[in-house]
Amino acid sequence: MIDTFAVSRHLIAAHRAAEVDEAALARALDHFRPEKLAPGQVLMVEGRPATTLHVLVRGEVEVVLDHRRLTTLRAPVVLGELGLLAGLPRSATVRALCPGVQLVVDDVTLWPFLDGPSTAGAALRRLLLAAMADVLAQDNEQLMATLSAVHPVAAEPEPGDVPSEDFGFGADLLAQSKQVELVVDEAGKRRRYDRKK
Amino acid sequence: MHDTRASDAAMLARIPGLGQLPAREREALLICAPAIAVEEGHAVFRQGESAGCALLLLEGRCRVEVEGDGGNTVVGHVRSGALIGEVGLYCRDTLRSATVIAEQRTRALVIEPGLFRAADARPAVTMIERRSLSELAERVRHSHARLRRAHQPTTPDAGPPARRLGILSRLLERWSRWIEEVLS
Repeated sequence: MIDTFAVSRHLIAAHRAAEVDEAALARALDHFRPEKLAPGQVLMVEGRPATTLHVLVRGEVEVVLDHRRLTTLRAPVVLGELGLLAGLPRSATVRALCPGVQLVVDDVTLWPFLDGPSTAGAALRRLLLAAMADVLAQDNEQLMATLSAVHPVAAEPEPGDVPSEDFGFGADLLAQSKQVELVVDEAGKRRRYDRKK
Repeated sequence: MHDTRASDAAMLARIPGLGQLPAREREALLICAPAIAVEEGHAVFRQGESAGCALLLLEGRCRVEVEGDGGNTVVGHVRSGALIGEVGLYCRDTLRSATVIAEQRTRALVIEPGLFRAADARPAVTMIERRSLSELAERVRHSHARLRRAHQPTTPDAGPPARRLGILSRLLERWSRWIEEVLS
């Protein structure tokens, strides 16, 4: 038996979620299925359809891409939300590193919740938004560090380079941002390279 | 005042998702979320400031800049329909990661956390959150991919087969040069 109220309290704190009602989130988590995790157990596989949302309640997992460990994550944490919400396949493989417990919900159960007007649905929506916003804030910090290194080189464009239009801020310009590449040149310097339009 | 409200309502109706809501629900959002106007050249957000709200752009265009060691770098532009600064809306205790400057006269709705508690605005807020869910998911995936690319050399560390091919091509080049010299 999992104390979903305690889990929701820990999740809200871990993801610094704003305006999430603990009791409402606990009601949403009651719709998730609890599962024990064994060391080495695979929670999701890179490239497979994203049809489930996971909440790691206890334990630790590793995130693997191309046989390389990207990071490890400790409970409590939301997993698998990116592919599910973007409607894309899993972007990495996630594997348990130790015995643990997870809560799982499939997309058929989840979507009516997320789309609906219930307070439980709103709490779950805001938790997922906070989890992603938190990750994005961390990514932005790293990207800014990269930009600082890039700036002096980017100030001297080469023939064919065009000024960058977007760097990931502003969702409506996401497509344009894909025209920008960050690369490391032969001298080992990071530079921003804007694909020819 | 009435003209401004009508104009804001018309602009809100053009925003994907919100445009599909009944007019009375968009009207409820306009009542609960105050509208602001920012003149050209003025800052909407400043990097490093405490982030406690988001802006839903109704009209205008803004430039997003990041202040770094080498000066300010323009990292993007946002136009009407975009929700900006939402990280601060959903996450507590965050700072603005960029400075946003109005490039044209910009009009926006201020989306504050208190709006989540306003029952009248619930359908519009639900719509904004639903839109944010998929947009944020895609942005995070995109930023992950970008970070991975940024840390990946353009000439990746050649594995054994690639290294062997490189050696072979250099040998062929030398032999062809030698043959040319002998023949000439």
